[in-house]
Amino acid sequence: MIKFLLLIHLFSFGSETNIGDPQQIISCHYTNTPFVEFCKDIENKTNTTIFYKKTWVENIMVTIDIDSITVENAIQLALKSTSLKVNIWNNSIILSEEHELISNLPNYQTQETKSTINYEKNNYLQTKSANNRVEIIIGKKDNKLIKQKQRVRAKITDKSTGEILIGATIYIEELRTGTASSINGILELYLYPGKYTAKFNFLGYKKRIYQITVNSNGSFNVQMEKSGIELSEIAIYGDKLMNKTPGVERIRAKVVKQIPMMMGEVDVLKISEMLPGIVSVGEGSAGVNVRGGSSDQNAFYINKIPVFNTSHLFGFSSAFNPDIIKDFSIYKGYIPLQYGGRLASVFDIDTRHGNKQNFTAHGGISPLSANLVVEAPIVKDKASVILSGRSSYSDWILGRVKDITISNSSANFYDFSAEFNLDLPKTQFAIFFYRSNDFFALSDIAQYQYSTDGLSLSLNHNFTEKIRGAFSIASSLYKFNTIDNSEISGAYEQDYYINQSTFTSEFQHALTQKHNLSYGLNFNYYVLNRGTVSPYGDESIRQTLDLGIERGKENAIYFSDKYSPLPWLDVTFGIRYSLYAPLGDKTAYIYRENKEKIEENIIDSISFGPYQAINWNSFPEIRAAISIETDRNGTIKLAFNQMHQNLFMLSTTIAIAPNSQWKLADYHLKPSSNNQFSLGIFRNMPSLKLEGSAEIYFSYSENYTEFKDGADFLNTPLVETAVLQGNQHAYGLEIMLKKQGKYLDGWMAYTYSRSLIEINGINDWDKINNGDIYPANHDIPHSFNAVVNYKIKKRLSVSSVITYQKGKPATFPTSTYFVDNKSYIDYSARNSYRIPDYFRIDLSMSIEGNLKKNKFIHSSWQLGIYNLTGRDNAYSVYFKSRNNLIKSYQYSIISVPIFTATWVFKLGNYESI
Amino acid sequence: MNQFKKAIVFVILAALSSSCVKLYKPTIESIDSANYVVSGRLTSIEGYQYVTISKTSPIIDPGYIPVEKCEIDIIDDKSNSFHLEEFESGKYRVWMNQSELTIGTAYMLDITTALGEKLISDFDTMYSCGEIDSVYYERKDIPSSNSIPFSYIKGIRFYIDMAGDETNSKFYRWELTETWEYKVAQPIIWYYDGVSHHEVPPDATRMTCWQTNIIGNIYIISTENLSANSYKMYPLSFVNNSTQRLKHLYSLLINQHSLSEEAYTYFNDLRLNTNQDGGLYTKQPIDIKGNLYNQSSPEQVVLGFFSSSEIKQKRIFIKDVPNLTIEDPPCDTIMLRWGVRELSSRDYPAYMTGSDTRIGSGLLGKPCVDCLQMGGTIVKPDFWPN
Repeated sequence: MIKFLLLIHLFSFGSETNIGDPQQIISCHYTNTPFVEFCKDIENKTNTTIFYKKTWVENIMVTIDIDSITVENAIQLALKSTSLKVNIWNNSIILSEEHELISNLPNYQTQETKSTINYEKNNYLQTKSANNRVEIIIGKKDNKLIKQKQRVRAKITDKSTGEILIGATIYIEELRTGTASSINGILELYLYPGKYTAKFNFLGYKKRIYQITVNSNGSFNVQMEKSGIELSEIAIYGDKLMNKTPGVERIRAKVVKQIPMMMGEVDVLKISEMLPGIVSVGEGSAGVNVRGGSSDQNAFYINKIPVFNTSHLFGFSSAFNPDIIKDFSIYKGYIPLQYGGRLASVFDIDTRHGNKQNFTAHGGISPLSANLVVEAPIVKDKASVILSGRSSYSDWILGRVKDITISNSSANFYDFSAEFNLDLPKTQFAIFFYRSNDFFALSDIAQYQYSTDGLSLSLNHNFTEKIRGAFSIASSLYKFNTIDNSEISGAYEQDYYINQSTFTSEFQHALTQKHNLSYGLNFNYYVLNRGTVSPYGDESIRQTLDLGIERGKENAIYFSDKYSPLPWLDVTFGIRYSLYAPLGDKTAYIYRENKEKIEENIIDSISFGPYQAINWNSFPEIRAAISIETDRNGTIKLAFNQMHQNLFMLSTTIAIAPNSQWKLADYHLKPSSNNQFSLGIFRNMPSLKLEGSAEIYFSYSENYTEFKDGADFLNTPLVETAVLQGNQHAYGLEIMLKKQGKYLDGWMAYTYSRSLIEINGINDWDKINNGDIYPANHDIPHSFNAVVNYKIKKRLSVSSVITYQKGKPATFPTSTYFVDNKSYIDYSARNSYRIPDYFRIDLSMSIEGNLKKNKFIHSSWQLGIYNLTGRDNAYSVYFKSRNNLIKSYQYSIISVPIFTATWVFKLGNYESI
Repeated sequence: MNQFKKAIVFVILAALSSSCVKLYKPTIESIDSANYVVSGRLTSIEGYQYVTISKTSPIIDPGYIPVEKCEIDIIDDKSNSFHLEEFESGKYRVWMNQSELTIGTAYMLDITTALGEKLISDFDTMYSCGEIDSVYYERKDIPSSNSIPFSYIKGIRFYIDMAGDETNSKFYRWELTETWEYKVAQPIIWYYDGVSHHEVPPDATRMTCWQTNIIGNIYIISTENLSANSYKMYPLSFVNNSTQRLKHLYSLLINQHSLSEEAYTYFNDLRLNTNQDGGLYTKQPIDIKGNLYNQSSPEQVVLGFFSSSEIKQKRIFIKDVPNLTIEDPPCDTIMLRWGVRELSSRDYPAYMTGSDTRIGSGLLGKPCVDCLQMGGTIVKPDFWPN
């Protein structure tokens, strides 16, 4: 024995002084590194001694790119293609050439590790010595099939949770083609029998490369493993080359929190504003503007539940718990045909399923709120639940304010969600419940309360190998209550609600190798009650005013075909036919012809019975996309997109207020429509680890709604007296550069975007700004965002966000004049001035506890500074007349740097995000 | 909206005590783009008809900029023209006889400026004006706007009932002129303007004054949507109890103007813009359109409106409002430690206390002596009852 060890020692390199740990986790990034050099590096890093004979490893080159891996596994991986064995002995690693030898070792243990080298438990797998790659053999060899393409399917799942992965990609190197996995995690390709190199990719997961040998039709499973076990970070993905969809952005809440956020609250919506083409309506305000559209032109869904107010605390935080978000897709260019009803974009959030293997919990504590997520399997590998809750405790901040009005105020919010999911071989089923609630009382002057309740049931089923169906029923109820007690005699209370119920069915149909069909139905039913404005308090003399109930139905049928005639060409063409009808009972008023629509000009009325259609609006929407792969690393995409919108927000302010009412298109208010054309160029620069894209778009909307000067929606049930409809022109250029390096990753996005409005009716009262084109309130020509994450050490990383925006348009007074000895102000043309530009730098640091595998609680700290330079960014500019002099003031929300600390924890080491 | 935005600022900055509002100087294009402002109101009352022409002044340097030496004519729809004379800088007038001011006639303005620019107005028809049925008041307490907890301002609000018929215009504007009598506590005995003056006997001529004020608010209605061309209880001005207005005798003159629909729209927009609370960014100001144009350079906007109205008048007097105590500022005397030596020429004439022989060291406040100090006139208006 001793002799043997001495023998090995003679052959070996390395020092023996300190005892290392083969189970220590390291990050491994080597490209074509000689094995000897690789070992030296590991020995230096870890103090683990590696014993081997130099001649055994002479020709072995190591290529590993993994963020966290044990020393032992790294060496196993490096030696995968050889017959050398890895043994642990006294915290050292000993390589051996022959089996017998090892069995003789007294302290020898083979340690089967769960991770890293994951030989799929699949019949088709066998190792192959060449190329260090695992080979997958599909089907049995049959020479008759050699000239026919064979269907190859792969189901992609998360290794630790068993969860299916949607949008994972396969790329066949030899053919330069690929596809992405669908809603049930299955990807499908047609290949001629032969050998291929298949790369599987999913952001936040380790890349897998397999050698696949196609013999005949067949399928296999791929289990992907998460890279690293950081608790949270938000990563942007959307491999544009692979999924070939223009104008789509995805934010994957793989692991959150690196990006610094105001008050330490992680907010996926705020992160979306860092992407090109998406801007916030204002600091700390609810609402985003996508490609020049107004903030009511975006649809938000969480697991199919429509969400009408996405914010907590008026917009300081989003109403979605970041810890349960799995996938966050933003469609702004080509919008898939299953979506409709909004002009500018669709924000679609998918939440995670509960862990199907182990019970786990995690959460966090920030200055404003605390959150907790608990998940557990019900039937192992089949069914699980996940519960999440978040609640604020922000009143303590208010209490510290010396102003008595504020210290008597109260602001709080909570959100809760619960999901049960069942995963059977051909069927997946899920029930999801969501509730979000906000309450704000400004002393006894005003009170705002709003809430969203949503429930969805979804069922996915594979009917045949070629047809998959997804069905869902969802209902959402958004309510608010406002009490305004600021004027005793005019004090009022208003209750409002909107309820949308939907049923959708979607079918994915792989008709042939070249035709992938998608078709389905979509039913929507709306009930909204604009509520009654009623006197509040004994002294109020406010007249009770019923603003009325509205109902509407919006049904659609759609069909699309993704046709891939050539390996480098994809053409998607689809049509969606939707039918919208506002329903009774309702009275519509007829106004005197060629007169302004004001109450005084009503000459007649038409009554509609219960559920009687007031009018029918049908829209064929055509959407098409072409994707041309110019070379291995480049794509050009063209898209044409048509949308319609039947639901508008009544708001004269830019930010979405908690008492902004939604309103259906009706007898007078016409549905609006939009045509958008976009062209994008996408390029990968693998040598620089850069990805770049440039997109231009032109969009034109009809029946864009604007509100008359001085419109007040609490004064009249007749919205048509306060609304004008016109055209909106938007165009822009979006440039994005993404880097994903070992230590450095992030992106830069520049957007040039214009949004111009023309309200030019026939009569004077149908015009705004004399019928001349003017910039929309949210017209922001230049915006630049940069997000940089730098990993200093395994457990320490820093991030920074830089944001610049051109100032928002505003109408300024330009001069004063006198009429009958009284002075008046003359204003500029609408929005012909701009408030000062916006600029902000944020910084954050993430410090994690040690990464030992068997620790009970893992935790980390997120420290952040928001508005590092303390710049006084203007939210608005306003004017006041003092002694016949007009003074102008700038109003900012944040004018100092804000420091926050957030603690995040996770129970056990189960990969749960 | 503003309220909760303000509150959010506090939420966020609670521990940081930082001010979020600061003065901001926007760069605003200035005087180069000054526009003409024409204000002209033709009334049915025989006498002078006035037109004023001025220019807008930059927002940073506001002021009245009269436009002189213009040639102005009022032209009616029968092509009669009436030439106006400049009687003060930028102010023009012409005497028109009753026969030249007839209901149903439309009038327009034709202006040639000294620079040769031609400004013209649309024709504005003089519609007949309904009768003023009655003007009356009610005792009202209104909450003061910006105080917490709420406090009330005591006073009276005037209301008008208008009774027109189908032949009358459906658009009205009321112009209010208030006149009130006020008194000071004592006659002038001693005053100092570098030298001491002793009035013997005391000068009692400046103990009672009358002041007249045009109320600037815009009061307008449209009866187009009503079944009859009349209106009950339209709220007019509010008079509080913190001045002497309601102490002795108060008079309100109501001029009821008939308007065309265009004039109504103009004044209504003007009213809405004036009522804005400075939240310029959150709500768009109204783009007000008048009825005058610059023919020489059509892209140059001409502000203002030329209107023709028939006028009905009513004057009411108010004395001794029940249940209302007048809380006008009392007569206070400030004792000067060093007597008149503390006074400077700014204070002259300074009304002082004093004995029969010597000036005292008490400075009398405004409500004590010489009613002209508070504006007004000692000439009793013609219409004032004895």
